Amino acid sequence: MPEPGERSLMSRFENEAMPHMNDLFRTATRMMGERSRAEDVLQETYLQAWKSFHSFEPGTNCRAWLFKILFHCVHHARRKDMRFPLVKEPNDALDATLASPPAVPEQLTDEEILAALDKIPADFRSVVLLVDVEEFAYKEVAEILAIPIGTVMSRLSRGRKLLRGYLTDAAVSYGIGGDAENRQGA
Amino acid sequence: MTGRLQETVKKVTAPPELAERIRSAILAAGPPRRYSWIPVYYAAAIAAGLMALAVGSVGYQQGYFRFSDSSRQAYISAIASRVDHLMSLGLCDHVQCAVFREYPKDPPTLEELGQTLGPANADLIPAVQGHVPEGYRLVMAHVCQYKGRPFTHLTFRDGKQVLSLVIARRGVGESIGDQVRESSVQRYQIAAFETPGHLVYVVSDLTPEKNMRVLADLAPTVRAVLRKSEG
Repeated sequence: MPEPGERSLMSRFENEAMPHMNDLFRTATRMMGERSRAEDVLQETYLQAWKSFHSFEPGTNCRAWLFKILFHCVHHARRKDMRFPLVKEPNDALDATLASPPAVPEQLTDEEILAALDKIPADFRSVVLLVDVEEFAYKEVAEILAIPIGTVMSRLSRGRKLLRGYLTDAAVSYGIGGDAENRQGA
Repeated sequence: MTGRLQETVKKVTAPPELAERIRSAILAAGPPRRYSWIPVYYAAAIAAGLMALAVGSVGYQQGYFRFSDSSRQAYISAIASRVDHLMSLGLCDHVQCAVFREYPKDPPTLEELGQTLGPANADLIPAVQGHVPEGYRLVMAHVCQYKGRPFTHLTFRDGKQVLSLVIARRGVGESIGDQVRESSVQRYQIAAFETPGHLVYVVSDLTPEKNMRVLADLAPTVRAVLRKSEG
């Protein structure tokens, strides 16, 4: 039976931390690649958050604090498995191979979009998810991932270009987008 | 692209049972610990540091880690005060001259030691050889001083174990009696006897029995050598 002080802390945790579970889960799923692994990472995230919840200052950004813990757990889980090699630094060669990105074709399915997102190296994917999906500010992303703000911006730019490139490839394979248009034009 | 990406990713939701699983894990973990942020390895490092401090402190009390003359003299004075004055003479010379010393890897030869000991005491070297415990080797033989008083000092070593035969001229009124006497302080064992003109000590970190046996083995030959100078 929890003590009264613990009950109050649990109540705060329930109100402030638990509502962000879906946001954290979808990010964990995209970062880990499998729902079951994302569930494990999310459980570990909440456990770590609970253990250090006394250090969380009420009124500050609980969501950003949870994402910071989430990425710590994701990083730890990936290192443990060694199944997901990290791309540490942006690769300039990537830019050279990417043409100016076309618009995303509307015909692409959700699965194709998610598959394209999952193909992006993890370091770029994390920034795209945090900025474009979870709508964190660059400064918050820099704090969550513990990287300089300039790195956030460059990874976002490269991540978006890669994503567009993969989406275009997917579109072309269905006969839509770049090449198809070229053929029509010819 | 951003809108479509956001819309697609946000369709993924957590399974309903996950929230309950997390709540159960939190309940099982118990209340948060105030200092859970201290990593285990920091705590281990602090514990190791405290342990090293305790070991160092005990070692210092035992005479280890004494690198300056003043700290060595303070140590000698401290242990000397815990034994009878006449017994402390041999102890002090042993600790100052034989314990607080860096020994060369290759000790001098017996001939060289005979020269450093001087002609008056040179007979001691062959006399005492063979009367010390097995493994001990004569590494030093000289006349040294402690607080202005001269001592004839032979040191034997077996690894890190040190054994001294210390001989001092008897001063006026200095007598330890007819019997062999023994004392101990910390790891040092002191056994002593007197001749008409000298006080003879064996000081070592052997057990009391072994130290006394060394003295008993050495006594006849040492008496015989000293008798020559005592006339």
